[in-house]
Amino acid sequence: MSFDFQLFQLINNLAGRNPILDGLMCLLVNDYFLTTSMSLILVAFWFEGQDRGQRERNQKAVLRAIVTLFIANILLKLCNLVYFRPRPFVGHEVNLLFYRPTDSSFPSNPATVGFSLTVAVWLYHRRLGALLLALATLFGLSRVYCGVHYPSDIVAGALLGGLSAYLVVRKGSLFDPLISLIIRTGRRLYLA
Amino acid sequence: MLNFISVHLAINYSLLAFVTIVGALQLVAARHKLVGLALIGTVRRPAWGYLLAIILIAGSFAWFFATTPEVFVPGLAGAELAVLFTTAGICALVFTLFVSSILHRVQRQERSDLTGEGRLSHKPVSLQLLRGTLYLPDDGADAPRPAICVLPDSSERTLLSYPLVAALIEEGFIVLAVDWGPQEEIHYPAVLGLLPSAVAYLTRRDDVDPERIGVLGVDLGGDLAIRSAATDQQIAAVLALAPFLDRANTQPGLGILKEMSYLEALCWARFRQRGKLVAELSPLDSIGQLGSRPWLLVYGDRDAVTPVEGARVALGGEMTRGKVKTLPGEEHLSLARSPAASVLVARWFGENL
Repeated sequence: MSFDFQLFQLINNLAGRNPILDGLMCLLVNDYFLTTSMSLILVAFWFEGQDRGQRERNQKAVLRAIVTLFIANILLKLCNLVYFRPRPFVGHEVNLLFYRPTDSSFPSNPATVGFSLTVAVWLYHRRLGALLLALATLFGLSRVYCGVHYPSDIVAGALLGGLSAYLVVRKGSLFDPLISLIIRTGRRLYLA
Repeated sequence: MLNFISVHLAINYSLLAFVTIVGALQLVAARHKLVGLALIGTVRRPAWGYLLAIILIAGSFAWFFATTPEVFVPGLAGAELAVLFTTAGICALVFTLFVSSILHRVQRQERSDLTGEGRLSHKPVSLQLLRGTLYLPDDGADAPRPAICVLPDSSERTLLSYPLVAALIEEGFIVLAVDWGPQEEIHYPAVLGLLPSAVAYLTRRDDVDPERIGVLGVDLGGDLAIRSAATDQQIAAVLALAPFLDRANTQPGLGILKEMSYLEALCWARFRQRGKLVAELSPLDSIGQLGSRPWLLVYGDRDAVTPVEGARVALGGEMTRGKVKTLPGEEHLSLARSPAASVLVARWFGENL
């Protein structure tokens, strides 16, 4: 038995023992709660900052996070095209607290989304990045707890998201003209 | 790609996104005192803003999970969520800006009604280029007096409500409030003739001491006052309330929502020549040409348009001959109406003319 599956069982076997923990994980695992919460944080972060310079830096972080999300999703689809991994509930006895997704388990889509936003923001703002990191980690953990992902899916998703963010933020000067244009337009409209 | 297999889920998610984004905007408004985004008074009561934000965000999540059983079955795809969230976000922003503007207008109306601003006796002046209003003290003294040319913010139509005119009259000054004329007719270099013609008018009057004429400018008027004083030696002292100094300050972006509602900001933006005029007037260069004549720049410490720190940095070495003063609690737009500024202006001209 692989270490990945052992770790999966260790986490997934906690499911079904404590109704409160199960309820909490069901809240975290769905496609709406954490994705919407993280998006709301980005909305608020757009307006954050005491002066124009600080706001511009934060707005660049938000726009780069959005670009990262697109890039990470493209990379994820490419991975899905070349490699398909069945979900843990296919061929194993698991505690399933969620519906049965039919797409590839590897790499985890929610982990890719969560960690791409997290790393893109973390490279600009450590404290907010830490908050997003906590949310993304909970998102990944809940997917394993509820039986829809292996831990290695989450790690791969996190690496893919993190790498995309690093490339966009540190090496993505290609997007700078577009990002500057959006911020300039926003400023003219008194929204940036 | 966009199937929206559950219409009920899509509608509920859109409502969730809409209300939570309004909540997030309230959080930001309370944190940064952005009156242009606030649905309730945040400057005086930020706690109410935070409370409203928490109620909107937590309440809408609770409502969504309580009324949407489709959350735990295959539902909306990522792209569908993104489309719904973005659409709801735009709607929430427009809603917040519009409702906030209406509420801000109502509150401002109430404040204005409560103020009950008095009227000053005045007479219109109209001579070739010069249009304005002359205010004379009625204390019966015959000796020639010092006089102040006042150039208001270019978006102001009248100076009658300014307490600072009353304070200057009280101090014994003759005050000539210069009218910019219609905004569409304000152009460089024609504006350079405004203050010299006003000063020339005052020097021809028997009741004015031609050696004691000062200029007071507000906002863009401050920039023009500085520039005019640099070339007109008859101007003995210059005081500017919240001048822009730099073209970049005429594009304050989101910061302007700390001082006005979004609709007011759009009206403020309609005077498109503002930035170009500041660049052409180059007030920073002109300050260096004032020589030994006294000058003072006054800013509110809550000025979101022209932060006083920016003015201090921009002035650099010029600070030795004049001063930059900060008034606590005042904003860019409120400064000229503040009683504290009126007292300061009247006292400063009293000491320097």
